[in-house]
Amino acid sequence: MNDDVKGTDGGVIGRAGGGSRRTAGAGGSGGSGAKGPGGAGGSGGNVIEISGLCKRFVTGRGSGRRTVDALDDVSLTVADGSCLAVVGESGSGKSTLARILVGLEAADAGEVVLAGRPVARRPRRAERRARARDIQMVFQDPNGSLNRRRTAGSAISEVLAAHHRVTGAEARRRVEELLEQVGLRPAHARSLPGELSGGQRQRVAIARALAAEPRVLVLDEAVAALDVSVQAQVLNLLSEIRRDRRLTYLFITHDLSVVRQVSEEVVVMRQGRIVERGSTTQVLDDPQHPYTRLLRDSAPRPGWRPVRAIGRDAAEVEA
Amino acid sequence: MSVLELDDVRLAVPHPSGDRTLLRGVSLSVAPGEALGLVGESGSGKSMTLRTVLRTEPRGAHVAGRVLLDGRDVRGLGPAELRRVRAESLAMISQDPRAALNPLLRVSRFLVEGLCDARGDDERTATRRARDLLAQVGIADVDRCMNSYPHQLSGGMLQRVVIAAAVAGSPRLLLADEPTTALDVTTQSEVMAILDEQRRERGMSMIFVTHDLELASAVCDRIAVMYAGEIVEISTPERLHAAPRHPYTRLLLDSRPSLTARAPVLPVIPGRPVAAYEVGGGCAFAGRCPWSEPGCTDGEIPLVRDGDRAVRCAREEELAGELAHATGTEATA
Repeated sequence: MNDDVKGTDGGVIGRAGGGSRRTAGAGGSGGSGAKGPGGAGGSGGNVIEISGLCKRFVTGRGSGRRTVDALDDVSLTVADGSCLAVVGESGSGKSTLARILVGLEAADAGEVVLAGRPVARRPRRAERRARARDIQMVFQDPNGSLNRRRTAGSAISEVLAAHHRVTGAEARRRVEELLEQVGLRPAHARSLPGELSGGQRQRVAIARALAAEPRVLVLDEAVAALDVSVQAQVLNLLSEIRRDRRLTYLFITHDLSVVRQVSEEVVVMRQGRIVERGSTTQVLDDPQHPYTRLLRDSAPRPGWRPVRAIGRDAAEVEA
Repeated sequence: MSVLELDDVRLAVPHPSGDRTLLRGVSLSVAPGEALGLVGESGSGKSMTLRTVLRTEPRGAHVAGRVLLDGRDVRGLGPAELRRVRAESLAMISQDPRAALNPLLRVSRFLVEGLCDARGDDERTATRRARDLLAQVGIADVDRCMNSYPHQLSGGMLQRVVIAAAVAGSPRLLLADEPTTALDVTTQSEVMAILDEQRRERGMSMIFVTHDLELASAVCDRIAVMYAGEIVEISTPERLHAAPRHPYTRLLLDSRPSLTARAPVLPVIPGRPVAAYEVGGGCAFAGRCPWSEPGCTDGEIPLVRDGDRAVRCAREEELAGELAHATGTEATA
């Protein structure tokens, strides 16, 4: 409850639910008309519709038992073919949001509509598989998300077999195609993750996600661990793929420069709530919420100096 | 006299397929009270350079060259002298503060024990000093922090505790290796401000290792850009941004997305960063450099000094004008 941004109490809550600056669709690239390959289509051109999402975690035992609202009444929509950036620091709930969206976590309350289909809170196996075809996730650390004893080719063909029953020579052809799309060579199909650089591993993770032919990619800090020169390559690649395949992105990041580069819309999260939302240009050029301003002012850039706020640490102590 | 001087430091580690070079001749100096940023991508040798100063390089590593701390070569010190140098003249702040603290001891024990050890204070004096130090690094609730175990504190709080311990003895030289990489951006700003302030107040020198050119520019007097185990450019932050002299520096500046303007396509450096042991003859960056010429791959290219800047590029004079302008689409940003 220790609010380390001065004078925000109340203002946060008022804005979060109301979404007075919500401008869904504005500035988006081809938000309308682009119906996906599945033909399911999103209502009103939205591929993702989330309303009133809540998730509470319980930590500790006995007298140390505490609850944390990782998500507290979060609502958002993502237009077909657009990229929504979700910005926040640790504890903001941005990763929990992603995990619920792809089905790695179940929400306590709220609704998720994906490509026009409501997602059951405890889906059956077939529903889960259908969802995985619609939405795929790329994680921050390809070392953790790729099996280090499995070649790049076999990681990708596993997805092809699971979702599209593609095997044998056809699978090999598709693997080569996918590797080329992410800027790798067909020969990389035989490489183990340990034989690839960090950037190459992340490309394999992206190719594997694309193998399911999803409509939505959820990218959870997908470029955060990459070196600057490699990060630029992967960011360009992701823009290209989105344009060519008419994909929709939910791009989770802490980095406002990346937000500027990849997204049309942005939501800023803090302690489980959305504190500001709007078009990327609007929010970054003229942030309304003190926390968004603090985030922007904390980002190193030419001429920047670090600043020391007084008494901020109280909020950091975990009781 | 320089606080620290590295003279042609080379380092190789044993590997089944022959020794692997990690540093290919690093020379630099740090003046009293000066902060030097060591900036580069992973594998460029920036952390390894710090480790040659602390003498904590990997087991079995072959190190050549001289590392002079206040004129004394730390490479030749015996165990007892080395311990004394580490205790009195050097302090290290690493990326993970949890690695520096014993998880079973309260913060008070960690700080007080360190102060008694290093300065010979009695326990009461040390406790008073520890409390002062915590207040100086911006901790509001000193009692609570002193009585906490490391797991009860956030990363930002812990890094401040580590900074307090590091500056306690006012060592000659602070070695900071990505001290804020694991922290949130707002906490990073706070921790960097505190580190910068404490360092200046006590007149300490610092080597600040980071992959973030902007962050280094904000707190350092000079920046050394490393690539493949060597320094390719040294300059002041202002000049580095206004007119970089090495193609790698130029491209590194351009490929980072901007906070204020979106590029239609980000300028990229083709290929991947090469490791020091992969470099053949000539310029290590030639394979990725849009300005490289056949001559770039021959012989050894020296680091040419010019006042307080230095650059390692065979075409440095020809390219000076061109590199001063961004390659990206928004040269004005």
